[in-house]
Amino acid sequence: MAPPPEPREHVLADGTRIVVRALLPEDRDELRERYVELSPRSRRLRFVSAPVQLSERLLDHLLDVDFDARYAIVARLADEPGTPGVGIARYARRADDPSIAEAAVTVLDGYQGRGIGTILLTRLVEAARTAGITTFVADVMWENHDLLGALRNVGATVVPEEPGIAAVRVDLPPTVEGLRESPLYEVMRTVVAT
Amino acid sequence: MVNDMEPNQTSEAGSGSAVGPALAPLPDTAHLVEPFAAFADEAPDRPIFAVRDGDGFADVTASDFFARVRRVARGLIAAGVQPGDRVALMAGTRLEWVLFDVAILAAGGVTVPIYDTSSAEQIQWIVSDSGAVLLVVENEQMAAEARSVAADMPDCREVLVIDDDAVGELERRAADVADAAVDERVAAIRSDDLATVIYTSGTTGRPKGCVLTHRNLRINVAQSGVAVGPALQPDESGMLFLPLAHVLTKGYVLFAVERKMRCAFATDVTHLAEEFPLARPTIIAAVPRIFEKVFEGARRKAVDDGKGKIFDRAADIATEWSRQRTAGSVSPKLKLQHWLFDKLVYRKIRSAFGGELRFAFSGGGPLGERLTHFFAGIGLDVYEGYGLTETSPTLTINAPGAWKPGTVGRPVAGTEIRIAEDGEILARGPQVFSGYWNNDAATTETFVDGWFRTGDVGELDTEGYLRITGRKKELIVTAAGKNVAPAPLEDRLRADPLVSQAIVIGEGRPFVSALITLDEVALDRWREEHGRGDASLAELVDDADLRADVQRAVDAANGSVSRAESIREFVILPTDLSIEADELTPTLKVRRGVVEKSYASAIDSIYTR
Repeated sequence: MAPPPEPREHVLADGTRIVVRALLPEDRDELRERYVELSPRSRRLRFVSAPVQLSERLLDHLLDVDFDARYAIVARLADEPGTPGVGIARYARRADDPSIAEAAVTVLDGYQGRGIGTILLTRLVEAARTAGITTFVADVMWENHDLLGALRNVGATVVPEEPGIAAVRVDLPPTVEGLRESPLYEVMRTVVAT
Repeated sequence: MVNDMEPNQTSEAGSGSAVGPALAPLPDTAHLVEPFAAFADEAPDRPIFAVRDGDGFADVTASDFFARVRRVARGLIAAGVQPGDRVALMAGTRLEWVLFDVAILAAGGVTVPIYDTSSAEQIQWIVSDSGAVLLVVENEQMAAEARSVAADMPDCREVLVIDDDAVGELERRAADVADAAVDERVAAIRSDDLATVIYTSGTTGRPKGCVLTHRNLRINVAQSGVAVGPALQPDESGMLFLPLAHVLTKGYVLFAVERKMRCAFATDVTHLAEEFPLARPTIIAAVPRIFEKVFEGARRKAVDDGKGKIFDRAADIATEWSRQRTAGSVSPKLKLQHWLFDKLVYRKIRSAFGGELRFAFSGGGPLGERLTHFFAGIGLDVYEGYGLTETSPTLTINAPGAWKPGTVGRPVAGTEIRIAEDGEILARGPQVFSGYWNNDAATTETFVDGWFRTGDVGELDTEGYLRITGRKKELIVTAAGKNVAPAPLEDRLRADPLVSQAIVIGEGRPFVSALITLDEVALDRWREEHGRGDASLAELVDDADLRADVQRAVDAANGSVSRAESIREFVILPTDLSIEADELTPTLKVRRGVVEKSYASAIDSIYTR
């Protein structure tokens, strides 16, 4: 187990302050509740054939993080009472090649398009880079075409997988510092717009 | 009217684009009633159709058929059908389907086909969305379904029942309308007028109506003709057995009539084995399932007779023979083996198709390279093509002299295929529809810079052959060519408290089924209520009471779809989907394909029951 990331505050373009911190066991109930609030489309884009609610077993999996092979962070509203969670991002290394990890980002429907996903994904890439991960992969639904288009623009390979789904593979910038200048950063901004 | 010049297929660097041969445009006065009228006029006594009658098939002559078309058209005019009015038609594949279709067109109307397996919910949606003024159904049962939703189909004035003498009824009403009225309606048809609105399933939401004009459908017949025409004899005959609501079958009938072929109506698909030898077609249009069934049936019979090994050898020889022939030459040894197995095995398989079949169109799903070579090897050339309802349907086709198994062929005449940056197949041509009925948003989404987005992913090789490699739409295509959207079905299943995860299966299969996992908490409660306190999940998956409760969830999900799309069988999985088995990705995305492989034996047992 690697040390979890320390909480950090970010300010969105509209002035909203959010705190990004490690996903913790105490987030279990909130994760269960927030999932139900997601729109069917958001659930589908995240889980493909998405359950109506997260079973205890799925929650076990989602909360099983060691910040090395399985890394997850949450975004919370800093100024609201109880700092409610509004987004979550994670990666999981591939067992067969630990330099490759699968990434996923989810932002509550009402908070999409405000920059939260960009921040989460940026943090995710930084952590992955530091941990020696060179490539992100993801199953992305074709209907998420803005994201796919942006990914292709930075040289990601997009190949058809099962009906409705594309397998995406994108190389991370070689250094954490290079991230902001890299075209991948632009992609992250697009993710949030979708 | 078709410019029969040399094909000038082009393609750049194995991607880019490919263009079909040139095609003469259709005059603006061309329409779909013309070929029927021409058949009746030029060959009045020749059979246009044939229907089962006792031990054989009875012919219907072109002039008789067209006279009936005219009478029914007059009856429809008497029933108030105005030019441009939609008339819905829900029936199995039978003579009356075509009779009504052409009569509706001759009255200036637009045919809205409804699959005969459709649910009341679907009937209601299609009739009300299209604004159909009349609904013609096959039987009393369908009429009852329609009546159950009549209140929500405000434009529909009347339901006519074919089995309750709808044809006779309209012929009687025809007495009030002058014969010339039909001539006026037909003369007024322009090629860009609507001919049909065919509803297709999207990945989510309600089915969308594809609007096809007389030009779209008629030109597609000409396009197919340019490709395969040179291989046709003057006395071909056809057979109909797939749903006419499917545009592939519709296109096939139009092709047959334009070529003045006789088409026999099979009683239904279950009678094919009996009726192929009676009708002895030379050309059919089919979906891959039909070819698979014939292959599997022949093999099973051989195995049962203790000749499984001979059959497998014969199949290998046929496949290899076709491969070598395609490559340029067949070795002398293989020629001899092929000759031998032709006498011993191939002839019998051909007889399953009636013994005369030389030529088949295959569409609606991938046939597979091996099976294509196998059938070619036994003397049946299968020309696989590609297209969608939105494209009338044919965009590309394999053809005599331009045949590459494993691909869906080259663009038909007047058609351009382009591969977009993301791999999506784009198409342009006169057979491409102009949009969805009453759904501008969907229409806008489906075109990019004037190109139709097929939603499929593919590659063009350097000779301009198209290969389908994936699907952007989350759709399952069954072996029968039916598009099924798994997401809404799965959502409905999961709405049941007992169901945790549901995976709908059916790609390339004869029907749709589902793999279901149960919710642990709900299952515990169920155990208590049913006194199965200590039964493990593995013991419960075949429990009749538990299955009955899950069946209720399945029935509820099926209520929204046609029988062809509905879940006919399900398996309760003894374990949840797991990351270890790769059924869930590390971030817990479901992989339908892997789940399907994990439970391959359970799934196979469903389909071999």
